[in-house]
Amino acid sequence: MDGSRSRVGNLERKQKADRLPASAERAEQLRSARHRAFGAKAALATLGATVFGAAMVFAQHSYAGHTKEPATALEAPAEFVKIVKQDLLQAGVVEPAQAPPDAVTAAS
Amino acid sequence: MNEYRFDAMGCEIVLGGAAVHARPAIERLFSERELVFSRFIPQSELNRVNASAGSLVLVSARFAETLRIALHAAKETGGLVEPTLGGALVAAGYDRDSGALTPDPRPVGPVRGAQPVFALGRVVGVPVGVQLDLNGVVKALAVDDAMALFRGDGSVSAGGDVATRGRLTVGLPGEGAVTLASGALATSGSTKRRWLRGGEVQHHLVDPRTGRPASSPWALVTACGATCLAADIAAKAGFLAGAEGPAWLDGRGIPARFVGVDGEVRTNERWDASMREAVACI
Repeated sequence: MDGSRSRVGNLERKQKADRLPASAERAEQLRSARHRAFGAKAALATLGATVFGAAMVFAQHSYAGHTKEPATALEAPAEFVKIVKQDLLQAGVVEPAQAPPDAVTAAS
Repeated sequence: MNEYRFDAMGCEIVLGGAAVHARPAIERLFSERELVFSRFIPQSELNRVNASAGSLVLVSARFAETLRIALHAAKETGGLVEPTLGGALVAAGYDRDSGALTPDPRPVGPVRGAQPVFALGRVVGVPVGVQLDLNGVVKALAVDDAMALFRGDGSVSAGGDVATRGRLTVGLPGEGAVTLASGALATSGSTKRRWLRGGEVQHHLVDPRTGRPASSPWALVTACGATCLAADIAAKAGFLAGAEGPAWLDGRGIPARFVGVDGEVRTNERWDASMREAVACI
């Protein structure tokens, strides 16, 4: 009985010793596969983002509804504004009176 | 119409409409400008600059900008509205507030006409014997700046120079009225600030060519400008241009109304055209 148990134990130990190198190799293979998969996923994500960005830029420059240049305020050319501001004598608008006076202009 | 009145710069200021809501700021504005530009407040910056004639002085940004505008107005009016005639006013006897002027038997003092002034940024140089008087533009500028202190329709009137945002019916000198659709109406003339010196009637509108109160066929000139400054300068120039006044203002597209010394009212072509165009649009 003791001899039989001892043989079984030896056999298991032997088998275990035989399996160890195979298990380490498999773990290495798994690690390598995971590393490749991670690299492939990162490459795919980078490619996706790059394509998306390029498409955005392309769309902005080609689609008619998008601005092609930075937006600027709608205003008269600076030279025109300068000339108008320098002109102190600009006329106002007067019309015939349509109501009793609210104010009076007089020499002061 | 909602109104608020106060006194500043030797005249009555009337705020109407939305301007009433900004009355503390507007009162402060007029008070500050008076302290800087009055000839009758000894410690005013204007008097400090005049006392430094013959040397360069550093002035405040407000003073420098106002002087720049006054010199520009002189250029635009061909020298009619000049800021360097303060000495001529003093020589004519206008050396205190107009309300305190009394007949003076002494003859009018020696005078000088318009003189060049050095102004570069905030550095100003006034020649010896020259006195600046910026009141030709200060009051109108204050009205325009007061207009920027409130939103909505309203008006600011300073001694009869009226600026409005929104339509305003304005009574004219003598008789009649007009609707000011936009901009300002200003009246200048020799009927208000006048006094006796050396047995002759003097007034505050000095002819830059002679250095004496101008002899004009007009008693009052009312002009309509896009701003109170434009209206005031135009009214003064129309008065000082004499018989050429109506044509001078027509040439610049300014509607103007003239009351002659004989009381006859005349309007220039631009004024008449404004009335016709408005009637045609109704």
